[in-house]
Amino acid sequence: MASLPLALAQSPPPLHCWSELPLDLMQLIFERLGFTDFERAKSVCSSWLSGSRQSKPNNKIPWMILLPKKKNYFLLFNPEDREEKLYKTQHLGDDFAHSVCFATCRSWLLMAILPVERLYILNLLTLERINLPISCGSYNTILWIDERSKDYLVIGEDLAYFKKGDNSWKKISEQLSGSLKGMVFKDHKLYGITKEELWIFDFSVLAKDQEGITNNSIYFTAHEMDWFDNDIFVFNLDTNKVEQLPQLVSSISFSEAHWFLPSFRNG
Amino acid sequence: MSKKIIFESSEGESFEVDEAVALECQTIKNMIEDDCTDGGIPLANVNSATLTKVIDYCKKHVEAAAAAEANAGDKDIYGANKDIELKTWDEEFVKVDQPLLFDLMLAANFLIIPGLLDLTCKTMMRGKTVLQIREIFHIKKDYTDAEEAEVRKENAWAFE
Repeated sequence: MASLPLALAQSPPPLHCWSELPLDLMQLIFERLGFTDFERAKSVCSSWLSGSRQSKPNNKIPWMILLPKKKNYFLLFNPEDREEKLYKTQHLGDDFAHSVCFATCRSWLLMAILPVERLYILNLLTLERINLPISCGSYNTILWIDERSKDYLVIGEDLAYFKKGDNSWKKISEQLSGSLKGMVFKDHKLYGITKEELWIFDFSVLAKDQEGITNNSIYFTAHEMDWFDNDIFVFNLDTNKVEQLPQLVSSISFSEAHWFLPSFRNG
Repeated sequence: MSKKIIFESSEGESFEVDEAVALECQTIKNMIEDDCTDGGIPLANVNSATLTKVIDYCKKHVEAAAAAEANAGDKDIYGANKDIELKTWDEEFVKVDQPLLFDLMLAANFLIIPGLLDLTCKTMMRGKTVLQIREIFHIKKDYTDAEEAEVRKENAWAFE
């Protein structure tokens, strides 16, 4: 019995014309690219740019943000391409060098200008900035933001919160204020723990958030361990081994480091 | 003895492979299930060089899967097999020139070999700058300077 001839409707382009990849194949490629490669690919030519509009990057790996001391930019470290270098962001504003980062939510950072009185939310890729009214912020502040609607929510350690559209900070609970030992925000709920109790506050009127990630390795900077300032280490939970990454920037020492998940408004 | 499947490349050359190897291709798997593989499978848009590589890939991955099965006890605490050796093999496998990479990608897409499609797609872009991509793949920049500046403004950090 003769088998069915297996052929595409047309032969592949004879000259291996990469700029004219079939749209479905282009989408398959784009879906498989990490964030950096995706952003680069869409700048190659106009047909790739239009192809990229149909897809999203495979964007599950958080990056580390390194804050050089007294500089107006961040350095971004992508664990996926560890042999590569650090990426430098654009100039992030004149008050940036005097700011510290309290929290991150994907590419958004909750920044505080020292001495802490003014807070702002900054997208480190697009440089969009939202100023918040004065508050007594602290390192244990929570930031949540929706990429599309720009709905945001900031919750301070004192249980004061500020969300988009509000005129002032509001207290969730006077009774608990100051007695929380720790708090976590997940799936639109705030979990706060005191010495004896766990409190859950539901903020789910806000739009849906995105899923988190898991990873078998812990990336940390030497700074966090009070060692030398500018090395990054990886502790692999599978092998129980610590590995030092190639020294990325020898001349700059970092004051702090955070993780963020890179994304643009369509991401 | 395992059943054999015969592929025929676009040049008319015949390639005999074990059924298990052919089953790595979803398209062929469907044909085998529909029992229409007698007399060989003509692949009019896959040339011999590409087909040789594709068969190599499928063979290796069938062997690796069998080996993993045999060493099922050798898993880490998360239940994932340590497939570093296979990863290294894959990396070597895609060190090919760009026309062959292109053909491999088309073949993987057409024969539906998800692993190979993943591998070729990622290899194509991985860690290359925009200028390198244009050079390697002979793509002409068809943006106007203004359009390009607009695209690059958003992700200037990716080009430093």
